[in-house]
Amino acid sequence: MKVIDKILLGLSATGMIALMYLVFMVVPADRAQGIVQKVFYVHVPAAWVAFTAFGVTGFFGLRYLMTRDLRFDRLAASSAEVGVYYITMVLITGPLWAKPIWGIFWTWDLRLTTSFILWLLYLAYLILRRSVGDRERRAQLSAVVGLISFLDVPIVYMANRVRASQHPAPVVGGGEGSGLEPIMLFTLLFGLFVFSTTFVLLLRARNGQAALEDEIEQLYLQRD
Amino acid sequence: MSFWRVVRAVLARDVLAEWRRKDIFTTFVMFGLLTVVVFVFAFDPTRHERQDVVPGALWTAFFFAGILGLNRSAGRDSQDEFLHGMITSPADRGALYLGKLTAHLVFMGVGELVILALSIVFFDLDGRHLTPAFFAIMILGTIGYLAVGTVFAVVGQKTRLQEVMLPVLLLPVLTPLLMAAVEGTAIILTPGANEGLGHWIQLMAAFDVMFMTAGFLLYGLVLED
Amino acid sequence: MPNNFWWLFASYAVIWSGMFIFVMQLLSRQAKLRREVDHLLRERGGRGASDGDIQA
Repeated sequence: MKVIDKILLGLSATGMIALMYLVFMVVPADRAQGIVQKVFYVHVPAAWVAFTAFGVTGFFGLRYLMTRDLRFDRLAASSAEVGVYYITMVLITGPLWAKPIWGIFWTWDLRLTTSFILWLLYLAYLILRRSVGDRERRAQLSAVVGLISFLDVPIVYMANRVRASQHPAPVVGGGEGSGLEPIMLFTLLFGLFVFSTTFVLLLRARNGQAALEDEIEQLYLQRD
Repeated sequence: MSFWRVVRAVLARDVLAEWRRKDIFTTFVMFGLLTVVVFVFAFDPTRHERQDVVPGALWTAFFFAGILGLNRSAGRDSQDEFLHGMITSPADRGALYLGKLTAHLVFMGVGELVILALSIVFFDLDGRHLTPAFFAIMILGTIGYLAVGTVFAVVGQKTRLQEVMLPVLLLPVLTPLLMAAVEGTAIILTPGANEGLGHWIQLMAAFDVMFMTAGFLLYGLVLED
Repeated sequence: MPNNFWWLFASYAVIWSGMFIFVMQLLSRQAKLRREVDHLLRERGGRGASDGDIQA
């Protein structure tokens, strides 16, 4: 294992433990929502990573289109494969948060809807990749679709914001940063940091495998 | 060949081909109409609140029928080797895109008008509601739909899943456009002030500009073998 | 408030199991790939690839 990966692993592991300690031992429960609100400290970082990972996919797709270097395509694909896990976590923890607070598992509010669409975009991208055999064509088509999909995300957000302003509805998690005490903000930021280092670690791991997979494909082709 | 000549050439070729075969148009209108009928029966034809269903029914019909139409178009181009012809020609890829997009606009636009006319009868819609704003939304929505759809239809043809790939790729990307079109249409059809309509129209216009630009720049890349 | 605890517990359980499952999938795929590369390289004549990491 390379040095950087060891560092990332160390940071992520100790970071996660420290985060759990902060969330359960240090941070006070929210006055309005009670103890359930603590989901916030993993739900938000997971969302942050999920959206960033999709941007990484779009970005490296673009780099591939500019250079035709498969290394970029591998990074784009790996980011999507890791990111889809994070967005799935967001979609599961969201209802688990909403149910005790609002009594309903789901609401088509701004953030949940945008997250759900992101999930669909991820899935479409991954299904596309599985559906093209030729290596270069897969990279090319994925890059185009990934780019267009990523450009769509801010528009999805804006559309839902307009709808939210015209049809008031419950918002999972309350307003943006409503009543955050300093220690809560610190824990949130710390969570963002830990989730980010974990993401980079997983991205590198998955990307290394993707390189191996391509290598193997090359070896098979040479053999025949 | 100059840029606009290519656009006209592609448009002419497609319209002519369709004039002879008429299958894209027929598919679109048939399926669109049936979708509207399904909505009518799914939401109880005797209820007066059925009016609320109209914007959703219309746009669902357009979106789903559009997929069938796009698949017909791309599938035919693939079979005819027209796709191959486009790639091997030295023509500007952006011009090819605009030509294709315009042709699709013609087919879908006319098809939508037919479906709309019949829907007016089925839903007993008030003709006074068909203001310029109403048609503006129809045009903006259709342009946005086809801006992305024209590109993704070709992508789909190049995958193992073929026709199935298009809706999987297209529908998630188009959700904000669908939202805007339905909400905007609903605002227009509801008696009273057209408040909030501006936001939706702006959003659709932004969507159209952004994705027409993206399609213009990227179409050539999906055409490539 | 104590009865909402189980919802909180469920959320964190999902996060942790999700991560665990993902890492396990990565590790098992890594092992399988390694075996395959070794096999192919030995077939070609020579040693396996177990020495260096093939990282992008």
